Amino acid sequence: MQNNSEISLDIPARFDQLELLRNHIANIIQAATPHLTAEEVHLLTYNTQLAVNEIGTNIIEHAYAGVIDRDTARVIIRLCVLPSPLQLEIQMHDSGHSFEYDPTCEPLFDTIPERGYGLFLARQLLDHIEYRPKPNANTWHLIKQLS
Amino acid sequence: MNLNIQEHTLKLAVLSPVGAIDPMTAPTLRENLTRLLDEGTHCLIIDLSQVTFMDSAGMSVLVTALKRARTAGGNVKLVWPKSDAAKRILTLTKFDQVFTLTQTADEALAQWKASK
Repeated sequence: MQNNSEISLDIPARFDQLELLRNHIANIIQAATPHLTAEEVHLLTYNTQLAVNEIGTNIIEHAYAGVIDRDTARVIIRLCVLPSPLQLEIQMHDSGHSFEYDPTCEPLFDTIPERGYGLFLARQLLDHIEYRPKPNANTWHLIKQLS
Repeated sequence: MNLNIQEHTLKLAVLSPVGAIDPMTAPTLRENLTRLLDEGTHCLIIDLSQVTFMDSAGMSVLVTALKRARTAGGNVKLVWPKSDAAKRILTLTKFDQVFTLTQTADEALAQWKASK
């Protein structure tokens, strides 16, 4: 389902789908923010794309770890623009493995880590991030303010 | 007269990815960096000025290359991406404190030449 303020996607858990997801995010933010300058829209778009991309990567890599058939492993995504205050709500559902999300975990910057930036960036770039693990029904609930 | 001459040849490579560096494209960058490092090129400039998007997969590649290069006595220098949004990510992840960042590849090259 797609219109200017709501997009629903059901995509296979593959990395090649992330670009499609980023494009949808760009389109929905562009349509929702005519009051902002091009520079402000670019910043909002980039930050939201990166954060959602990182959550998507986490789902593909970890929730569906070990799953060979990537076409049956699905990620259900709903992007919805909400008014008052203007914000983009993103819900991402998967039916893979749950994991213990630590909302305070940061990369050990002193060690120049090679991994661990993804969820840290998502937390930094979004206004709200919540993970609800359930057997075969995990949900990420994300909010990005658009004003 | 005794004349001692030491010639030094700096093996240096400039890599200029264009477009997005994400889990689909990061492996190509990693393979090329690994090949260069395996061949003894330990001074690397990665020009991010034409990179439109980079996620943690790309960052992981950069850090891996940096660690390998420094272990071998070299370094990895980055050219800042153009967009302020992408620059901010490098600051958030403290890459600006870990890598030497320049405005252009030529500036990074000049730094290396000057330090010889």
